[in-house]
Amino acid sequence: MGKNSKSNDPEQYDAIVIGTGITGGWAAKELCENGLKTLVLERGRMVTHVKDYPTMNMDPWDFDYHGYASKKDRERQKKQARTGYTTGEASKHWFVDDIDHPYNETKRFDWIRGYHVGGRSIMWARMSFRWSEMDFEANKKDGHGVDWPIRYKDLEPWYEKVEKFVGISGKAEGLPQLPDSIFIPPVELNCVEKELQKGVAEKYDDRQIINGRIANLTGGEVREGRASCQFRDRCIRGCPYGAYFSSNSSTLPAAEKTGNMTLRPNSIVHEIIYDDDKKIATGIRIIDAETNEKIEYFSKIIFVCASTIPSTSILLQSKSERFPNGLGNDSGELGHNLMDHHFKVGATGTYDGHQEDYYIGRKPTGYFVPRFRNLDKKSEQTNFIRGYGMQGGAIRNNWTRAIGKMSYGEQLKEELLKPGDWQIGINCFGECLPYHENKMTLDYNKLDKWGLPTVDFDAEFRENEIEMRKDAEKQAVEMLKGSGFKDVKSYNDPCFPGNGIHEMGTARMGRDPKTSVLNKYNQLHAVPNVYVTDGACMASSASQNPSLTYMAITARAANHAAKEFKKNKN
Amino acid sequence: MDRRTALKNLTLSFGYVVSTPTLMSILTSCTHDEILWKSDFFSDKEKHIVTHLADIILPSSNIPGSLDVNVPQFIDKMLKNVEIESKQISFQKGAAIFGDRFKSKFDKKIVKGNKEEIQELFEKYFDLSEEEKNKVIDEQRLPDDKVSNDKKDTYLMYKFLFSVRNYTLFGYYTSEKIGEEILNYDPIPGKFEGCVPLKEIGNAWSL
Repeated sequence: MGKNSKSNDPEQYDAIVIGTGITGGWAAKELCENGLKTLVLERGRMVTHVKDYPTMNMDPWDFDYHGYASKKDRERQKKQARTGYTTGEASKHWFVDDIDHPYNETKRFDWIRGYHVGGRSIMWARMSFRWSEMDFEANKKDGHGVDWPIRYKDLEPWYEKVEKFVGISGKAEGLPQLPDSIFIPPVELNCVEKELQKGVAEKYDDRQIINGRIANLTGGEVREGRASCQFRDRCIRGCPYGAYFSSNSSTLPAAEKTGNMTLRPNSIVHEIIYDDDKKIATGIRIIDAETNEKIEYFSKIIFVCASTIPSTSILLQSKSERFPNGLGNDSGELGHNLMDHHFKVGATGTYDGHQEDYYIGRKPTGYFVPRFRNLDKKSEQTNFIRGYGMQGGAIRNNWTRAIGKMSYGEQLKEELLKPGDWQIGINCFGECLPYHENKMTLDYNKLDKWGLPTVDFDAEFRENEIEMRKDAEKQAVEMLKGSGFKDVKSYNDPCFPGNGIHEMGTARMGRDPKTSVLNKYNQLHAVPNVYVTDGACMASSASQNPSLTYMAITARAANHAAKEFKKNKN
Repeated sequence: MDRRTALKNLTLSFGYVVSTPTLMSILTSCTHDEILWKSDFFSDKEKHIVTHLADIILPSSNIPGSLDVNVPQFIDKMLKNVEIESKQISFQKGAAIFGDRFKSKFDKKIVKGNKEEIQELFEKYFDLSEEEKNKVIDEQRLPDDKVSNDKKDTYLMYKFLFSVRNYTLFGYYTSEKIGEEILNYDPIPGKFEGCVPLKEIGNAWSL
């Protein structure tokens, strides 16, 4: 993955991929492996696997402030810090500078971004779940949003393909609402998580506690250049073992290996060039982030994988006579139907038993509760449609259990060297409906330092999500209490769109060009050589973490594009 | 993103996360390295108070104490570079009030106070019944402007004492010496086992 100097770049490519995150990496790999000469553009800096993970081996005492960001750093990442866990000393370098990269909030939107090669595939939570038939049918059934132009069977072979390459740790459960992946060994639950599993199994016949499903290699599994997880739980910093899947550890090296990829960091794509005569896109325009030079590159195919908001932003900026409101925006839906999962609702509790037990290793996942609401007649709810999954984990508290208390002295010092009580948490991740009113637009009166328009957000969670949260809070408490947990406390904290970092929609797929932006292969309805395969394409959000589905959709679209390319060539 | 970490932070926030800072003056009866390091944030008086408090909160025994791992220096650095201005000011005010109360009690400046005297004053505020402690802790959860004027001084003084205590714990248990030599240190576990007898492991994991 060398940084090619511009002068050596031929201007004409078979394909251009915009973005190097989880979908850009997959598009690059599939197109290159199909023999297409591919230019891969990334707006941020170069990040080479392992070499550019500066904090990967640092202990708390190696950091100036033992992990806290200094106030000077915090001044520049006020929005990125809204998650509470992104901008500490261990990972702040993966998140953008909010002063250099401003955006606007008609309504609050927590837009958490990473501008560098690999994008957020470096910092993702790695939770990997297939969607089910039910998820693809939901819009049609209840009339929210537009019908997906694909069904589970369309994606199934692509889920299989990406799962084999990525490596998904988990356990087969045979649940219709959460189809099994091709699994490598699961990460076991700890003693207290197993107590919850047992308690829930005894009390309920509609739900279960299962192992987290994550894109980490386990059980001695390896992939090219990647070793099994060492249970350090420092994934967010980049993994020296390549144990979890990222573009940097996996897809970009695979693309590089073909000899067909040219990777160009520091390339801010702001426009796709549309040829009014040929009625296709012919290339893209970039600004070099370091030199401010404006350059054009040309190709037969363009993959827009810049992540949800930037991808739609690029399309909105790509105006022509044919498309005065943005490329492919005949429907007027471009920028609309913005979604994110809502969370920060659930419960915590302690467990009295297992005081003589502990664990070895820091696992990079916890347990998962597959959706159990609105699956069938029996689980139908009156207050909300669709549903939520739940995620959590149990730990034995460390010294932090004494924070905010009033003990002191030698006895305290020695007591805190021992593990404390078992504590468990359970947190809901809920589906958000596709509301036309939830949208992003461009503000041409507020330009960024490259003279480009800034994004404005106008989106909020609505009644269905609010009602769903009330149920999740209640269920979380009941499940913990019913399983013997003590001191159970619920929470339902303010949660703003974006904070789930699953922002999606804004260029939705659909069957009808009048109401959607993309067709069933992720092509712009009216410009078939432009594909959008990141979160922007989503017509609904389901409740599962979305990355695995993005990967499958991207691999499918890239192979479709390669097939069309070869057909046209012959 | 890494929501397990978020979850952990969330639980941390139930006791409130480390917050605030202290106030002014001159050094006399110093212990340990008090003279040997130069503070970036603390006045000499604050340095004197914080050093003694850190020593009282986590004293040295056959296991190192907070002064053995330079906790006061760590607190000084956190106050200067991590805490925002309003928290710095409140820390300074709280330390000043603690100093004033010392003076009322012992009829001399706190910089002339030794560990025993400072401990005596500290005990007055921390050796309380459970009920009284809960009252103090509940009051600490209020924002400044919700505290009535007659209680403001006590509130700020406690804010300062809690800040020193929380930072002392944080600096101590995340220090290299405690993290690597006293707690159970295993930077590369290489495996995960979810239920192992505690007696086979010993102390809590440091990471």
